[in-house]
Formats: sequence, C-alpha cells, structure tokens
Amino acid sequence: MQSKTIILPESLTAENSRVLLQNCRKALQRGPLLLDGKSLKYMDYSGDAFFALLADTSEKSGYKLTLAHFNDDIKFHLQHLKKPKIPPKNKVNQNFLERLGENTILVARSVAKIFVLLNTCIYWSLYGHFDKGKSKFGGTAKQINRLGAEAMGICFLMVALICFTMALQSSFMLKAVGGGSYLASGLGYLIFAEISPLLTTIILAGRSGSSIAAEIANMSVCEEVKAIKAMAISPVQYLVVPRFIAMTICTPILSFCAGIAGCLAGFLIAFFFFDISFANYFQEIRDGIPPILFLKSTVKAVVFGWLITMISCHKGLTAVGGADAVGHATTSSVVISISSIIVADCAFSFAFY
Amino acid sequence: MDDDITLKVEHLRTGYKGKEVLHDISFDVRRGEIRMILGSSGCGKSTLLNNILKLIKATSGTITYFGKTYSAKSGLDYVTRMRMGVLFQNGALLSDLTVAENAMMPLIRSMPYMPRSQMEAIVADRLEKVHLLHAFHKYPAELSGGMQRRAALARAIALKPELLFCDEPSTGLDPVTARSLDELLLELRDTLGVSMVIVSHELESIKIICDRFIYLQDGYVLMDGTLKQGMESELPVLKSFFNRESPKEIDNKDYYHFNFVD
Repeated sequence: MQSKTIILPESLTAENSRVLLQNCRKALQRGPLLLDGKSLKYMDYSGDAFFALLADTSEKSGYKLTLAHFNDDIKFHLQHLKKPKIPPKNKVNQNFLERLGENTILVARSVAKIFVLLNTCIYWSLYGHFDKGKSKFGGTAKQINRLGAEAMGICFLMVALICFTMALQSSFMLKAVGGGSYLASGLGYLIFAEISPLLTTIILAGRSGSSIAAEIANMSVCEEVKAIKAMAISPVQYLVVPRFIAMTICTPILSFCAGIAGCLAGFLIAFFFFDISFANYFQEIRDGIPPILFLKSTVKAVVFGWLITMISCHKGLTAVGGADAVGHATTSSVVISISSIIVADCAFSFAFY
Repeated sequence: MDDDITLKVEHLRTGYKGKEVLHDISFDVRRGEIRMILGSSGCGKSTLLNNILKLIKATSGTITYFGKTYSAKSGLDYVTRMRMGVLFQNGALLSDLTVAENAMMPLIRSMPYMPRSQMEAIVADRLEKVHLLHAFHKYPAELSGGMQRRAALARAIALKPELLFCDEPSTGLDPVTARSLDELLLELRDTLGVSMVIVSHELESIKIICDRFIYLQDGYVLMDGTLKQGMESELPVLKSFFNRESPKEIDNKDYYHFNFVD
C-alpha cells in the first residue's frame, strides 16, 4: 500500500498540532504515513506528545510511520524521546453488595469508636479529672467561652425569631376558634419540650461542632496530634475532654436561656394580638409546663451536646491528608451531627412524651 | 543485651491494607550516636520512624528501648516514652500555645505537681540551648520555619531525653538555617549525650552529622554502615545518592524508534 504523505508546517505548536494530529492518526489507521519535516524548524512542548501518540497509533494499527527530511536537531531529540510509563490505576471493582457491606462495617466501626471516645471522656471528666496523680492541661474555661458563650447571640436570636413566627402563625388559628388564652401554655410547652433543645443544638452543631472538627482535623493533618501522642499525652484527654466538659455545661444552659428568649418573643404576639399581660403570660406558661419537662429538656440538650462533641472530635481525630481532609471532616461532622440530633430527638419523643 | 545500645529494631515488618511496605528491618542505635535513616522519597523512612515511635503498629518484629523489648503490636509505656523526644518534620507545635507553653507540655505530663515557675526555669534553659530564649512568649505563627523547628527541638529535649528522633529536621530550610540546626543537634549530642535517630535525605546534613546510617530502598535495608562506608560504596544507588547523581537507566525499550529517511 502506498504511503500517504503529510507535510509538517514550519513550527509545531500546541495551537496547530491538535488538528494535524487528528489528520495524521486518521491516515495512520488507514495505511502507512510519511511525515515530511523539511519545513519543520521548531517544536514546542506539544511536539513530543504529537510524535509519541503517532508512534503509539502506528504500533496499534500496524501501519508504518516514516519521518523524512527532519533536521538533525529534531531528529536527535526524537531519537531520545522516552516512552512515558504511566502506571495502571489501582481500581478495585466492587459490586453494590460489596460496597454496601464495606460502608456498613465502616459506619459500625465509627459508631463503636464514638462510644469508646464517649466512655473515655466520661472517665477523664469524672475520675481522671479529680485524680491528683494525673496531669491536667486545663483549657475547659477557654472552650466554654469559645463553644458556648460566643454562640449565645446566634442561638438566642434564631430561637426567638422562630418562636415569634410560630406564635404569629398559631395566633391566627387560635383567634378564629377563640383559644387565645392557650397561646402561652401551648407555646411554652412546645418551646421547652422541643424547640429550644433541638434548635439550639442544631445551631451549635453548625457553629461550635464545625469549629471543633476543623481545629482538630487541622491538628491531625499537621502532625500536632502525633506530637501530643509522642509526648505520652492522650489526645482525648488534651483535646476532647475540655470540649466535652464545655459542651456538657453549655448546651443545657444555652437551651434553657434560648427557651426564655423564645417565650419573650412569643409574648410580643400574646400582648399585641390577645392583649395578655406580661404577668399573665408567664403565669400561664408556668402552669402549662410540668417541672419534669425542664429535666427532660435538659437531658435532651446534654445528650445532643455529647453527640455534637463526639462526632466532631471523632471526625477531627480521624482526618488524614491535607486541606481537603479538614474540609471533609468539617462538612461531614455538621451533617452527621444534625442528622443524629434529629434521630435522637425522635427517640426521645417516644421515650419521654 | 549490650548496655551501650539504646534502641534495637529486629525483623520489623509493617504494611498498609495487606501490602507490606517495610520488610525485615533490623538495626541498632548506640549511646551518644547519631544514626540516620536515609533513602529516597517514598522508601518508607517516615513509616519506619512512626513504627519505632509506636504511632503506627507494625505487623511483626520487636523493638528494644533501653533494654526493654516490645512486640510489634504492643504499645509503648509512659516511662519509656518519657525517655524519648521527637522532633517532627514541620515542628508540629501546638498553635494555640506559646513557645514556652509548648516546651512545657512534656513537663506537665511527667511532673504534674511541679510549680509553674520551676517549669518556666527549665523551659528557659532548653530555649537557651536552642538559642530561642527571646521567643519565650511568642506564638508559633510569629516564628520563621527554622525558629519553629528549634522551638520544637526545645520541646523534644525538655525532659533531657536519652533518645531523640528527628523527622527530616532541615528539610525546607535555607542552607544557613539548616547548617545551624545541624550544629545544634551535634551540640546537644555532645552536651546532653543523647542518642539520635534522624530521618533525612539532605546530603549536606548527612555529611555533617551522621555517624552510622541505614539506607532504605523499597522498604528493604540496602546498606547498614558508617558514613565513610556509604561514601565509598560501589552500590549504584548509594553512589548516585552520595554523589547527587540521578540514576541513569539505559534501556532501549524505553525509547520510541522512529523510521527516519532523508
């Protein structure tokens, strides 16, 4: 079969080599090809790839590639053109069931690790904290300020606004049926039973949980956690316990105070729509809420706070890699914390009410 | 066991996800010696260091620290760990603590009831040893890379360790700072009598501080010997490592063969 001849231009660059390569490869798939390089004087970085790809195409199709009239410099360069050795991708082919099984094991392991972490935290907070022989690194007050006190504003504002909206919407219905007097007791019950612990902890998961996960994950990827271990210090004792104690103290307080803020917001509706006085409004709330509800609400808030701390710390401590690992740990800690808070809230609703 | 040996690694193997990355590693470190772990990037140097520090558990083998032998799976007890110091690659200082507070951490861990003023005096002494006393109240972010490395060194020697591990101490530093860090390590060895295990691939540092070395290649110990033996070795890999030449592999199969006609 007769060779097709293609004359190469004076310069082979990234701009003109793409179309030329397509034509040459098409020709090589149909028959032998002769590339005439008598005009070729210059090749940029794309030239090597151009000739390498043509050599590969020639090898695959079995048609000969001939280079004619190339100048000595380019000829020398091409004679020393190395074949790139791209390693094969280590792709593990798993079917759906295998992937499901692997992910289930991973989730089960993470849950087990979170429980171990919680157990260690309770030990350090109760026994270890008061053991005179154990080292104390402090940091709890700082964490109370960072995770709790600094989150106060956003928690109160969000809960108050949502309670205000809820009171406003329910006021229309109550007015229609003449049940304005039930606004305070109904709203108060709902706020302390559900809204304040749930909403406060969801806000804390987004604000404080993400901060915990990001900080610890960054320490993990920067070898700071390794350095702590190398000094015979338990990373759980040094990093997790102060945050655990801080969240255990702050979450119920924030939840209760946010509930008060919500009630105050609800009072605006009670006052303007139903003409209920401040004293009557809070009297009705007090009458409508059984004291045990506050205990239930506190328990819920504490457990939700633990969920946030444990999940965020676990995600932070297990982060491996670089900046992307920090981002991933932060995002997944927020998502998992919020999801688990809602699941736990459902479980509490069954158990408590 | 020989009293002169502070660390002995025997038949150590380790792997990730079923793939062995370190194969049958054995070596020892004598008292007051600077032992280096050399090799090209990705040969398993840092993994070996993490195994020795028990930050990663090995698959099999034993490690003997100061005459006490530990199996691959067992953890390191607190007393043994307190006799060792570690300088991590980038210092790994805790960013929310000052330099002094960082250096104080091992003291708080080992002597929780020591008065803070006494701890500060010890830390000041260590910072002076690494010529960083002026940074006593500074935060890591306020220091340069070399200063951070020195601050981390002060933390590593806070408890006057008998064995100091350094993971690429001079990597990423300018030549002047790197040389001063090398001299500092030699000074510490001479004044504190500390044995050192240093992971490095900085040729200049190796020539200055190395007593004996092991050279790792693909997870195997290619050579265990003195610096002189390494420099005189006829092994192509070592020749290229010490002479800073890239290994030349000439294989015709690696090149394209074009048909040229005139």
